[in-house]
Amino acid sequence: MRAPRLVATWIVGLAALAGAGCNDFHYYDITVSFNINQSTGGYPQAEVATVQTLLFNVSGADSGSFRIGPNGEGLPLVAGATNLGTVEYATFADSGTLTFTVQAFNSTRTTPDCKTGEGTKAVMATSMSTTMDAVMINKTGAGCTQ
Amino acid sequence: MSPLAPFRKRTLSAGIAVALVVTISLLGLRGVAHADLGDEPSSKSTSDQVDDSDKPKDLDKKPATEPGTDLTKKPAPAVASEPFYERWQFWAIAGAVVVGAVVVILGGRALAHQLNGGDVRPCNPDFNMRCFGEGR
Repeated sequence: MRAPRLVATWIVGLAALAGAGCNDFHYYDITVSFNINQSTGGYPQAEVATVQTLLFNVSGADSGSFRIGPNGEGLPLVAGATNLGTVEYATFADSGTLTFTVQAFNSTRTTPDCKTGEGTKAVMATSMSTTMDAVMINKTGAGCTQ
Repeated sequence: MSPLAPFRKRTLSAGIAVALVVTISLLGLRGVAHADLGDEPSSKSTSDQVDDSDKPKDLDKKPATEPGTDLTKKPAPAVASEPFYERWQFWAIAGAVVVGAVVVILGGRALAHQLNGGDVRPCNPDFNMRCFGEGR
């Protein structure tokens, strides 16, 4: 009688594990745009297209960093555009705060002297599958000469 | 993009399939424990017929039946003498065990994959490859 009981326990355990859904992906769709209102610390319109590279840093409930561009993933923006579009970040985090920090560089180098702007957004992590938010990049420096 | 084959939505069915196969295998093994699989092949006479000292006429001397023998009794059935690997039960159980092992391995992989979040969803083409984070 021990074997059937063991098998039953095994089946129940397996089903519990399968149904638990320990790790579910959560997606944070962050729309990235450049502030072109110079009175509030924005870029001059013509300067937005000089941004070659964006560095994303994620901290808080999850951590990570990634790079957008140069010459790809929408960068550099075409002249006159101020909106990069959506950046999607996948994570298992479903609680706490996710802080997205974006640094803009006017070069393929991502050294501090080439940094021209920065934006930060704190997003509450939830159990929702997709959370949408936006981050705006303000001008913070002149950058480097390529 | 994940190079893995999609296991999405198969967790429960894979678990049930694994459980069924293992259950069947275990129940079958219980039956094997009761089966008489360890019999040695019956001993066969190795002597040549030339050495056989019995003569047909000797048979005439022997009574057909021993006195007091109950003729209504049926002889006891012969004990199965074939080796265990020639029995269909052995191969049925062995096959079930092999299939069960394969299913357990595949199901285990699928289960582990699912427990690790399964497949990340594909990047929306509108995002221009700007998809990052876990699973990417």
